[in-house]
Amino acid sequence: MRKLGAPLLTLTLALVLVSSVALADGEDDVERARSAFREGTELVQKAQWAEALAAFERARALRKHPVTTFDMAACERAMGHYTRARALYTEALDEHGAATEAAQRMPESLVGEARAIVGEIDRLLVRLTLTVEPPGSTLAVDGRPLLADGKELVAGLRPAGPGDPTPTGTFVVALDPGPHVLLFARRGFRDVTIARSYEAGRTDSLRLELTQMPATIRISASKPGAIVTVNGADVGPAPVNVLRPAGTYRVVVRRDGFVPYDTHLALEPGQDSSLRAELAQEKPSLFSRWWFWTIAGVVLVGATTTTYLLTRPDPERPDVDAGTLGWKVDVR
Amino acid sequence: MEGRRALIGAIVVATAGAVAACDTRTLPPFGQLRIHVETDAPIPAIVSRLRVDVFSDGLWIESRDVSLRDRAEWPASFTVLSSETSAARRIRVRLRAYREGALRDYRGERYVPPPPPDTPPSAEPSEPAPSGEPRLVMNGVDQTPLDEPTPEAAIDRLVGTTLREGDVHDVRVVLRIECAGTMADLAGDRTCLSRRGALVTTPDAIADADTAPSPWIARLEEARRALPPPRPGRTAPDGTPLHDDEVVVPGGVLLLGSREHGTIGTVHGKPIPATPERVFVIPPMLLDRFEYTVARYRDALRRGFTTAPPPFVNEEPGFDAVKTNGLCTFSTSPMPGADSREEMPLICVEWKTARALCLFDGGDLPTEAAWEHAATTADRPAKTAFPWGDDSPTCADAIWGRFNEPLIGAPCVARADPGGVLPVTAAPRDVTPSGVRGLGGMVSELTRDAYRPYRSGCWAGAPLWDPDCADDAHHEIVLRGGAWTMAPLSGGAIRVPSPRGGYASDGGFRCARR
Repeated sequence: MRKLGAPLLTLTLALVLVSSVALADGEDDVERARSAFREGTELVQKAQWAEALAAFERARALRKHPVTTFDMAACERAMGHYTRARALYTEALDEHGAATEAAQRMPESLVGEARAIVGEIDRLLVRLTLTVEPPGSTLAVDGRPLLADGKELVAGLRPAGPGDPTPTGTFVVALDPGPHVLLFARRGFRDVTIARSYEAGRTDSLRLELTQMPATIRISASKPGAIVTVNGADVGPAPVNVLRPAGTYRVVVRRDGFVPYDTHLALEPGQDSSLRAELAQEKPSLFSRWWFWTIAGVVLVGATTTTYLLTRPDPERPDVDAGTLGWKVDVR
Repeated sequence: MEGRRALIGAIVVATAGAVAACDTRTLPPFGQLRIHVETDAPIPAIVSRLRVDVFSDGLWIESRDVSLRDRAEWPASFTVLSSETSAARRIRVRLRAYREGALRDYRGERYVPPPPPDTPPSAEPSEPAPSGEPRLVMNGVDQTPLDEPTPEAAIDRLVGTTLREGDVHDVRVVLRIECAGTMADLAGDRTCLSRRGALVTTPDAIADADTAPSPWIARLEEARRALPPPRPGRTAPDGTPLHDDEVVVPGGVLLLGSREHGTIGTVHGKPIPATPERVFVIPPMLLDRFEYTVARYRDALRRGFTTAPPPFVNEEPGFDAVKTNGLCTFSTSPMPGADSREEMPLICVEWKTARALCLFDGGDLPTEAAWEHAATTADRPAKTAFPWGDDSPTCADAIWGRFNEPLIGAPCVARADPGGVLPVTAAPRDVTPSGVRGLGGMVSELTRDAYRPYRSGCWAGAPLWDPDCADDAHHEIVLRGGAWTMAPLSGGAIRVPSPRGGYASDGGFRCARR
């Protein structure tokens, strides 16, 4: 059961002040602001915190006042939205500090209470120290991106939407106590979803590594019966779907009588790529003509014979045995 | 594409191989004759070098002289070829095997034909006048050798053929000692093949198989087997040893004569040479171990020997160089006791008596060649100057230097000593490897031969086997070996001519038997 604290007394006090100041400005906006503020106060007494918050938001929209912001923070706090409550209490303090007229300030008791509640909320929040690989992966908590607030990312402050890229290295995420769903995502990688409930004041560390998703190549050919090879490996006749890790691949599509289709593909993780091989009819080459090889053979034999005849060494005679005396006499 | 490349390569290789295989441009060999030279002469005693001279179409074109002192170096071979392919070349190769040092100055070809069979034994062929031809000119330079083998001891052989391109022949040539001393007739293209003194037209080397073994080798073996057993020594009735025992002297090849040890004294004013050296084969024989003794003569008389004239008689004991026959050894009766001369050599005997005594005992005087063979060659690997070797003798080695020259005395006896012979058993070191005693000193020994210079027709025409110059009509005989009177003692090649009817107090004999 959430503890409500002293908001009733505060809210009451915040009401008098507003009434006394409002008459000095535009009467329509002030009247509507007063009416909305009054409605909010009545709803707070009925513990209808969401409706009270909405009434205070209408009042604040017509006429900004740190008390109104204080009361909004109190509603969020009552609903257990601590990160929002802290943000609104801090905003109320900022509005109080920036006011140039007394009518625009909060009573000092509210100021002290706001500061104390901010410190209390700080101790209640859950803090997760996260390291995500690869860096740049997005993170959404409960379907909402995080708000960078100084040294930490705070969940629950931004409207619903896709997550933002996470910082490189280790970072801290602040959460309300209770159940949450953290979604880590990166294009080409498999999403990582963590659904967990954290008690108030919990701190935790988490290291996450996203795995690459294979790429898909959908290969088809303009002629039936063409055989597909990927990096030299036969993957079968087209059409064929091939899953491969991210990288560069040589795809060749062949069919007899046609010029081979030869190309390279660079694939990202999770990429889905389609490739259609347009096969062109092959023209018979000179090297396939019988008469070409006949002529070439004749020329080759002739050249070999001529070369041999021109470069062959002079004929020699058998060596003469000089006998045991090592002596041979030429009588010429 | 890979297959096509392989096909191209195969075509090139096959074509090159086929063309090379069909290329029949191998040239025939040059016309050549490989000559393998062998000899049956003892090495190095008779042959230790080979001189080769090559002639082409009559021109002397090459000469080489090689040392072949080891039997393992034979046969020696070399090749004569003609790189002239357009015409045949007629060649002659002259082979001369000879002993180291047996050379003479070259003054041109001085051909001396073998003496005809009817050549008088005393004839001494005259040498042709030196012409200085042929000359060996190579590359315009006269390179004629300064000397040549002496023909008398060289084995001289011509080998000839015609060289034609493509013809390769091997020929085995055996330089036989049968042909030693028979000069090849270079101008007449004739050569000795296997018979001393017989020249034939140089046969074509291709047809000359020349494989017949030398007959003298087998003949030596036969002669050795045919020898009777040597006679054992006998004793006289009084027990005096006759010293008539024999020893076997094996046969072999002899180089008769000596360039180094051949001259002593003069004959009629001419020096007595023991040259030219000549090659012979001496059959085995039984030779008296000792010189013929006085006791043996007395025993012959007892057995009925009566041939005259008898040896000269010395009836006095001892020796007296002054008295007539005072150095002779035979006495009518044996000298008693220490004066006995019974075991001394029988000296002062004529050649005729000496021979008759040998014939009486079934033998004969040894031939000069046989005597020299026994004294210097038999049972030895090389010829020696003395029976015991080449060392000059001391007074203890042999009986020599015992004649007191009036003015100079004698090296081996005292001044007053009359000298003379000693018992045949003296000087035990004067012995040959075969066991023959006293061939070095004691007495010069009578031989069967008449004295003829080695240059004479007798020796020039002597056969290879068992040569002699026996001529009973010739007035000179020849003694061999040293004697007690010689100082210094000369070697075994010494020849001592002497009148046939003469006698000497330093001349004795021994008998040989086959």
